[in-house]
Amino acid sequence: MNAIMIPQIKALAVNVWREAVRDRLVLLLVGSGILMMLVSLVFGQMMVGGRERVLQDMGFWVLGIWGLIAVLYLGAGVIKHELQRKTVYLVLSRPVGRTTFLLGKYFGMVLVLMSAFGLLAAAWLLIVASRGIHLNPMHFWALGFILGEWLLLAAVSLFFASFTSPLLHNFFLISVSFLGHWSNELKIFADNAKTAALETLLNTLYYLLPNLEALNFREAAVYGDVVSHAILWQGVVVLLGWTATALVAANLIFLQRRLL
Amino acid sequence: MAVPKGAALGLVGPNGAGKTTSIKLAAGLMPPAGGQVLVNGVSAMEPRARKGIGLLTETQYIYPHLKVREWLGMLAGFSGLKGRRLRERVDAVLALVELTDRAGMMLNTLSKGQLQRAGLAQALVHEPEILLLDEPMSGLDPYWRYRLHKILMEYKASGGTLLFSSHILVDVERLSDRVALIEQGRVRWTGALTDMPRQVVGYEAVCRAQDPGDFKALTNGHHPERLPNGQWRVAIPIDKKEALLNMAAQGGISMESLRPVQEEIEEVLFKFAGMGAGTPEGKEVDA
Repeated sequence: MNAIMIPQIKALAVNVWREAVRDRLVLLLVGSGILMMLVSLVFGQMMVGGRERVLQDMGFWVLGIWGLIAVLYLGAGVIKHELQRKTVYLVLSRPVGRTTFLLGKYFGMVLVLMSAFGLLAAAWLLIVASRGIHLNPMHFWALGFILGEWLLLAAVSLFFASFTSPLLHNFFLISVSFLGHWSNELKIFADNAKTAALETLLNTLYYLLPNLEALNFREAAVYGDVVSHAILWQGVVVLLGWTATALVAANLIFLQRRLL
Repeated sequence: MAVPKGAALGLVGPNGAGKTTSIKLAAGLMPPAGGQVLVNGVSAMEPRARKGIGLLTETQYIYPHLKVREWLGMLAGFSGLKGRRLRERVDAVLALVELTDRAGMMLNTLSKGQLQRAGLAQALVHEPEILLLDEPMSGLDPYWRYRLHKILMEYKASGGTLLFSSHILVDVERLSDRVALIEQGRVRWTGALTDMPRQVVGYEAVCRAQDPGDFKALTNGHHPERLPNGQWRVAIPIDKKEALLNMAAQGGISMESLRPVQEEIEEVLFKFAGMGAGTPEGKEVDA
């Protein structure tokens, strides 16, 4: 990595962030997420019991789904807009390598997602705290892993954006997200499959896709379960490993892609 | 095709000949199908080869969400400028293209001409040693065409290297040391425009005369053009030059100036490309 690469990545990332904060749809997404969390207060009031659980579940759910929507929206346009508007011409006519370009785009998405996550998580924490719900360390671990999932999905999104159309990108990303959360079920289905072909397919999907459910500590936070630090840190390593793998794969494809 | 340091090579040719592709290749935007493109001995596909390159495209490809200053700052940053130096350079190029008062405006609010000037600013902001210009005069009004011409001449005088394409051959003639005539992806001819055999097709005389009817026998039916102070501009065919000089010697008219009119450069180039009446007499086409 040469000395000029870091400022280039920073400049590209800031550009993605600027575009997002000047985009009304991104602001609307964050606003609607906060509104949904406020709505959970109303749902909580309607419950006879377990109001605290509804507030927490709904908050975690909004954070999970809004993250996927945000990544879908950002990821579908992050490469496409550069090619469509041909702005990539001027970027790549400078001493900017394609890897730098891709990393700049990724860290730009990270910047936007962290900003959106910060706002949504702060709103949720305020709502939860205002209802007198006791927050334990697992709440913060769960929040951290939700953010981690957002950032992993951003890397996977970049991988798909590096070679597919926005429509296919969205289809693949939604599939990865949902199948990733059903990863354990995929293994169970594979073990009980009646045909060898189906078993192979389900096993392939199980090993190919990131097991997002293994990184889900939301229930543990809601019920105050104790999770060992070893498991949590193992989760962090797995998350980083998947993110790095997705970025390397995206880079390998993007390096080969004919852009103009 | 080679462009020595400090030289200016103009690319000319019909639409689709490969002028823009040549510039894209030099900017490392696309890999060559065959052969290699080197910038200072380094493949143009290598990012480090592009450190000293400034590119001005015919159409400005802009980020609509960015302000002019932000855009220039970002692109200058890609070329390694930072801090105070970056701010100084951005201010300098904004002043150069007279867009200082537009620096805080969104790029998508600029007119076509202003965008072209902003494009020139981004191409110059990092003080490149090589400028690649694709139809640089496109969208500029006459004043800015004149200004751009001056800017590019100054750039060239300071040792900068120019590779540019233009449909406006007058610009090519003014700016380039050498010209490459491209057709169907091949260089058909390269050389200095001064080396190009341009035939004298007539003369232009500025004379004083009481009666414009005096020129009637000399102009093959072309009407003289009236100028201030009783002067007339007259187009004289080659075979009538002697008659004009005789008339002046006998005092029939008072001649202020006489200059040869050369064949239009477009005509010569098209002949070279085989699009006109044929190749110039006695001159081989160097493919």
